[in-house]
Amino acid sequence: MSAATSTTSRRELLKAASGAGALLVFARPQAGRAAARFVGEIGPFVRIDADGAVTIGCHVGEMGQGVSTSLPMLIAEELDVPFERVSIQAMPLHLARNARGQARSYLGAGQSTAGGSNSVRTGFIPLRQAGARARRMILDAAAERWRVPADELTTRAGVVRHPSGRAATYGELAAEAAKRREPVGDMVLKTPDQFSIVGKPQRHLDADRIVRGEPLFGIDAEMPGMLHAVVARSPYLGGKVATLDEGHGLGLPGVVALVPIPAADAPAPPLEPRSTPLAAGVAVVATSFWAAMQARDALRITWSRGPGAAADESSARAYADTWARMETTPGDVVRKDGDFAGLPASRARTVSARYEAAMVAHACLEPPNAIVSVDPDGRRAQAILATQAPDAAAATIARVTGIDPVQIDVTLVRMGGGFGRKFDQDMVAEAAIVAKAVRRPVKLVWTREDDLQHDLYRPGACHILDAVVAPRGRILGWRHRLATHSRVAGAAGDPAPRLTEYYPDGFPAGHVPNMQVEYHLLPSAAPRGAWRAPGHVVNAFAIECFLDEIAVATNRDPVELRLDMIGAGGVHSYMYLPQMPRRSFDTRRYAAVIRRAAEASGWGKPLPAGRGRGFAAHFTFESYVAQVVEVTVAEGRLRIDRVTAAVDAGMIVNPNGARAQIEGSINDGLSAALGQAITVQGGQVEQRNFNDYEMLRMDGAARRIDVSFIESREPPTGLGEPGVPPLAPALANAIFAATGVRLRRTPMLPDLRPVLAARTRKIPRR
Amino acid sequence: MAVTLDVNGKTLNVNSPPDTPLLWVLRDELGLTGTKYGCGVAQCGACTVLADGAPVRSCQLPISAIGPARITTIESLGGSHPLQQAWVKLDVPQCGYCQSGQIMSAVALLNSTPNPDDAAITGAMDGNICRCGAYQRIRAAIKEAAAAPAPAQVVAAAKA
Repeated sequence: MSAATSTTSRRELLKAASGAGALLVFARPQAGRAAARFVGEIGPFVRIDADGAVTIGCHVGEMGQGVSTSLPMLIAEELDVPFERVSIQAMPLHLARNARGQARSYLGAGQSTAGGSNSVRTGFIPLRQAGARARRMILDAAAERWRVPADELTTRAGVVRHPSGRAATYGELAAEAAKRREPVGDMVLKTPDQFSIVGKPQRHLDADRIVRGEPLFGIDAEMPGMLHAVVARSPYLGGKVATLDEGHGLGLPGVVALVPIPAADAPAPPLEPRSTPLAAGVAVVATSFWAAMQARDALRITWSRGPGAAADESSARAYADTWARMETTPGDVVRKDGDFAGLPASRARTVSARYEAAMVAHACLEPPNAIVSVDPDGRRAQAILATQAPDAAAATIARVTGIDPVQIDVTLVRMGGGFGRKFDQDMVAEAAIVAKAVRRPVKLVWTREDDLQHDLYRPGACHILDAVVAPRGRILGWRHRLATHSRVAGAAGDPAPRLTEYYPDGFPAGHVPNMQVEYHLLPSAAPRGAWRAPGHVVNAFAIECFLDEIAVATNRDPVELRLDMIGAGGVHSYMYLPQMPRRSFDTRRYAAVIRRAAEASGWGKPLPAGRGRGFAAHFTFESYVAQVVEVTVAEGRLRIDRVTAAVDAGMIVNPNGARAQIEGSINDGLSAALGQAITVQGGQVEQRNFNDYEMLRMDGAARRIDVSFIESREPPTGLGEPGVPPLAPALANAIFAATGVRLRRTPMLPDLRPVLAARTRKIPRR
Repeated sequence: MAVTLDVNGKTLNVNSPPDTPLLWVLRDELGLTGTKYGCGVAQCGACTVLADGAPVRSCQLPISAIGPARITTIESLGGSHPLQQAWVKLDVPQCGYCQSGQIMSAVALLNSTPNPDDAAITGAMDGNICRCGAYQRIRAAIKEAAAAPAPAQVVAAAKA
């Protein structure tokens, strides 16, 4: 199905379903490659045609994290079909009401929202169950045809066999299987040693279509009769339209309408108790994107400066006030073990350091966009969305249009990057407002300037760390005071701002006897959101750089210091958010990745002058990652020679995709740590495009990346995000090792440039 | 006033105003959506196409300025170009959004420099941002394609 195909309406899907009963498997010839269906509690997921072709649906949005390969692998494994014969189809969102009357999709099949590095870990059992149920229906069909007990049958590679010698392919049995009732209850699943697909490297199944330039992405999709829209948004954070001269814009060729976008706190997505802000503005609707752009440029709008007009967040003063407040005013206590303040000063020494991080933008290469259509009678809506959160998108359209969420069809298409940006629904809300006004399908596209100026930015932060170290090197006390912009606004229904900003059970909690963590809110006029490994990236920068500083101050090896702190290790209870189930943080597994990264990187082996290695580790989304960055600082430049990563993410479903995630995380970490900052002056975001928002390019990327996965039979854990947090501290620690200069701010380039300028020695050719 | 363009070997009359960037004519009028919008200011390379074999940023190229130049887009490569095959073999794409532009820049590189060294690859590819950071695999795929025996007709088609 090309992305340009119109949405398959829910009604058509149900019609198809009613013709076949409550089915998981269906064999009737399909017109084209119709969308897979949702039926029943576990999910639709599987279609087998009479010729044996297997189609598996993917209910989670693909943004490069590889779920459109890894999730179908789970289903195919239990279905017992050769993966080479499987084709994958993005599934439309099917909303149904649950017992509590809430509109939800894919009940019981893991979440359809792509976020929190969740898709494989929440889908690992339910999707295999879905595959096993489909297999069971095929077995039952064979048992009935041959009049034998189903438990005498075996399957292998899409063929059912009976000891009598009878055999049939899944395709031959599909029509009968499709008439059967979906089995109830848990199926017996394979044990890991029986896996033939899971754990074997698979190529990304859309790669051949990507390299042909096929229309896979949200921005490529179309609906018949579609109009194009761009929005002129207030350049002032929180500003509003004061006056609008419509004549200039409406008179231009191709312009159809101007639609006001009200300044509003957006519809709260039901999956997250927080609101997405919406910038006030005017949407220009035209017959083409370019016509809409020309009209937007011609509009004469004056803006009332909002409450953020005075915001000058890039000045040293804004942070200076916060630094002072952190030292003079007690913060919100996030964690307290023992008694840090009561530690005797005698004989112990104190190590202290401050770290700072700027806000950054997501800058997905595909800018935000959305296609929404509202039926003329206003009762139904359709959307084609490149979104991480289709449920929240449907809820947002419902809030904007008043349409019942179960009457909204959402077709998920590929995202040109997500990184947390497409978790929020501001672009969907805008498209829904416009579609409701013009009663025609509307594709709303953001320009790069729109994107950088109206992102939901990763919070900036100030960190002050103090450690009390005993004469023999043991860390007795650890105080961490931090201030961040917080990605939650603190509005009604939101968690407390600190909860998304510091995870109180992360390392070194439990491994220092006296620990105190205090949180302060850092004010900002800019909206904030989730950026790949939210909270973790900046916290790991502060904590893991500080551990390196303690090691240097106490003349110890940074790897040994960490291993000594862990000691024998053990399992800690780890809280993400209070309403989420607690997870386990096993510091023995943490120690194992630390050791593995050190070994694989040649840690401790001497390097020539101007080169250095830095170490860092972090635990998040239940995964353990340690990294060693090796750099050369010479010839006036920084070269990232090598990054070695050791990863324990439990069982690896697709080693190829997993490796790609860690490689990409490393370069993403480099990109954000070196060059990127969003700053606010006079109530406006200063950065406009890639000329003033510096993205990593090939020349700056790591020259070599080695990824080592710990062999494991534990359930799979997160992979899309955990590779990012260790990079920035490992980089700063490596630069220190190479130069003796400690960089304590991200982005590092402003502080790094004078260091590079002073080091012009030629790199010796190896 | 229609502008005449030579796109992928076809002569086409397009109706967009002459100041329209080629990118939007390709995408919205000709339906060639393989060429991507990324920045609009020639900073990211997502919109890279070839004009007479040389890489150009179509977001900054008004159709009135193209004249008789032969425009080649990702769609013209089919799927069997050695670079496309190497991209698939080494599983280069993550989100995939930048890859049309990356491949077109690489096509231009290999046309002029069949066996590029690391410096030549970096020089040719540094204008193309990969937000997912698949740079190692992009570099490796270019080397893989350069080493592959090239089906002459495919390369000729891409040069045309």
